[in-house]
Amino acid sequence: MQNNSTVSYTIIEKLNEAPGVFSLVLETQGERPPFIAGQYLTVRLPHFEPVEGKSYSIASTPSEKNIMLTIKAMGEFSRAILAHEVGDTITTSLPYGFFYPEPDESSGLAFVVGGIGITPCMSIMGDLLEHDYQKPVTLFYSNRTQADIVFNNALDTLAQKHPNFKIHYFITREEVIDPNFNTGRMTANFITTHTTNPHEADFFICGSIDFTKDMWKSLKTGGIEHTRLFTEGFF
Amino acid sequence: MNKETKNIPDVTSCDQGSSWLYNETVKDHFLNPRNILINDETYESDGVGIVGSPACGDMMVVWIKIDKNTERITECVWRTFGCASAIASTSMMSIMATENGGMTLRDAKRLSPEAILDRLGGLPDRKYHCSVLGHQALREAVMDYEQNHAK
Repeated sequence: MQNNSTVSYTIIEKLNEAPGVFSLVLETQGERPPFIAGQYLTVRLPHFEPVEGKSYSIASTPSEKNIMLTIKAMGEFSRAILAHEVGDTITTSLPYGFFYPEPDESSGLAFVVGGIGITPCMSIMGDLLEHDYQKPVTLFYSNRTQADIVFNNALDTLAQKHPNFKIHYFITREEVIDPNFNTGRMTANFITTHTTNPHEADFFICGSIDFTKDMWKSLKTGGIEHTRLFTEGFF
Repeated sequence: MNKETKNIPDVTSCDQGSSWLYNETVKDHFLNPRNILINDETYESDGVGIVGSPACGDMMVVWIKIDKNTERITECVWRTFGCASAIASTSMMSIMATENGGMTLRDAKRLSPEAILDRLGGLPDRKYHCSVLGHQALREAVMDYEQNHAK
């Protein structure tokens, strides 16, 4: 059953990850609440609508001491959170959500990500790889420009360290000469072609509602069973 | 109402671009919700899931019965303190969970909001989160069954 308890955190670090995107490293007095990689916190701000708060996926892994939320400044609520500075306190729900791999039968995992949707996927991929997950993990990551890629260096480092982790970057709003980047929108055909055993893999789709809906439909139309498509639409 | 304003849409749906916010399937499930449980006093379920909070404006309860031999959902009933979108999407979810001999627990845990929205024919983007409520309550109910009632 969902628990409505709250936790107070102090912001101990604020990092600029990309234009308009900041990570807040959160420290709590006492024991940090446990979470499953892929879950989110609901941040509550006094005097701001909605009163129940807004949810933000945890970008750090469960093995890290502190929780990190990475937030894009879009909308009044997100901007109000990002107006907080190191030393300020914010209140959140306990970790919650079901966007995480089921421990089971898949032949590997593919992450289909648009922009800031990287946050829960970063946590899941980092957690799996640091626990020696041996099956193929493939990230398909779309951004408007190269500068918008959140966690670019951390992802590349992860790929260098783990041969079973592959990344396909997509840039949609600028011409890119670098052969390591694809230009234009990613397609279901590209994703299934570059996923090992795509019909036995589990897919994790995360981004805006439109991105999530479009990729879910494209992959389903492309022959992927809908029970292999996990989604987290950001709204 | 004068002639000029008569054809101006009251609200514009992101999905349909027409004058009514919800499509016919959504309206049907909102006006005639399936598998709703008004009084749960005597209802004996194998798993229950509760999400949301009345204080926040949305609350959803889902009860499931499981065939212990096949591990399939035989009944999925629900009640909500929520909006038309929450009602319609959970009504559709309850059908998906029980049709064709019942959904396996594996598939119930893998049911996404997008699959429910797809069967509904879509909801406006601003109502996306309403479809998440039923999906989360079903996950909670399955988790409750596995943790507390499974053999």
